[in-house]
Amino acid sequence: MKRLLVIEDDVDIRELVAFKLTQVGYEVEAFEDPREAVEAALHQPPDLVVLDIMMPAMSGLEVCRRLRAEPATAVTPIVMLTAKAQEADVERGFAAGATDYVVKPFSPRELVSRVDAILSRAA
Amino acid sequence: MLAERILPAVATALGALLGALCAATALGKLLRSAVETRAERAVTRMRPRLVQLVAGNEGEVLLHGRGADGRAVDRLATELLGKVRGEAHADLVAMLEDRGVLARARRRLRRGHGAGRARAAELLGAAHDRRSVPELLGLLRGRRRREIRSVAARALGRIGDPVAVPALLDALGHGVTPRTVAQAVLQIGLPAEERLRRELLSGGAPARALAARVLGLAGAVTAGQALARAIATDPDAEVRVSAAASAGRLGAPCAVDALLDALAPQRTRAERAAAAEALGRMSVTGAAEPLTRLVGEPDVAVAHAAACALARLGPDGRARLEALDDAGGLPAEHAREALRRAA
Repeated sequence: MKRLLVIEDDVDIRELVAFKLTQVGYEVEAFEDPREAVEAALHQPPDLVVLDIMMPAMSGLEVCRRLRAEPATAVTPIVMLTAKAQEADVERGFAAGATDYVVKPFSPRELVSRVDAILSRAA
Repeated sequence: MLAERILPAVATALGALLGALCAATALGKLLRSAVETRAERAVTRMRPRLVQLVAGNEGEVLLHGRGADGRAVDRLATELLGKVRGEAHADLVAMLEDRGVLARARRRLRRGHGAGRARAAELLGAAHDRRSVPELLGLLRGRRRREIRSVAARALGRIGDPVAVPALLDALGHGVTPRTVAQAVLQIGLPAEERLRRELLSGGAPARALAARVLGLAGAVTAGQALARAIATDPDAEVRVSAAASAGRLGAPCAVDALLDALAPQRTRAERAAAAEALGRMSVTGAAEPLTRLVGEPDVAVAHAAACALARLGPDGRARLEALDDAGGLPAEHAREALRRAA
């Protein structure tokens, strides 16, 4: 079973994304605190990360850069899930190492399709 | 004697009153805290069930939730509305409709107090509730507080009915900021184009300027002719500037002649700068000669815009900037800055 991390400070979205991904057969660990999530990812690299950008403890871009800087997570797919929808924001997300970029408000079904597609390409 | 008897009694009464007030305040705080704790617990209890509804199906159970649980479901669903789209959004709207939440909000829109109306408008906007468009238009046009009109404008944008465009543009002169109006019209998107083009021809000056700007931001590629006409003939300079900026953003070839004419010295500095920028953005190589002349203008904003535009015209434009750099003087400074920015 593929293991996914969901890093999101909004409890509604975190629980929704975690539930939806669990529902379709993934093993999901959800984190509110991105620092704990980075530790967990480095301790046991996940197959994919769903990552919010605007979080108080640490920016999602910073999380992305940290994961990319570590050999264990350098190529782990990262899907940014964020309300930042400007072209420049998307550019910054990809520049930080994101694999895909989903803008809020988002469709949970579409997010699952994107995750499925990324993981099937990676397999 | 009388004072000696009365004063202690008054002091005692005041002390008792103060004590009672303190006790009432403390009791009130305790009660409020208990209610809030109960509500938070209900939210924590109901969230997983709502998540299941949005991700799967548990509608019947949630539909009949009452009391603290029911209020928690309504609150959670209302908060989630703005965070999801597609099937999840539709499921939430259906649930809120079935629970009577949207009907209550529509009633509050008509008869509520200020804050109640604003909250109702926010909810109905987030629910994309087309049935409330007439009421929201009434709020937008009415003599309500500016904040309420702004909330109505945002809600109309989220609902996305193009019928709201003229009222949104009219609201410009009545306390709703251009930013709020522009965002609302942009959210309406392509269906708003036709009405925006009409506004550009016949609206008031602020509405024409905003229509011109939004047509560009919305990527309304069919608006090229209307923008070209506005650049050439609109009596208001701000409209001409907005139209020039949008023509450049859209890359409208039919606006090139109007943009070249707008470089003329009798036009305002803002128009000339906007036209230069648009020609650069569109990489109109035929504009190289007039833009080169403009870099020599004493007006810094115009000369700088012309130099930056030249930098976007490919090898010919860059060669002209290098030649200007060699010639020295103020044009050389503009040329160097433009080349530096383009590097």
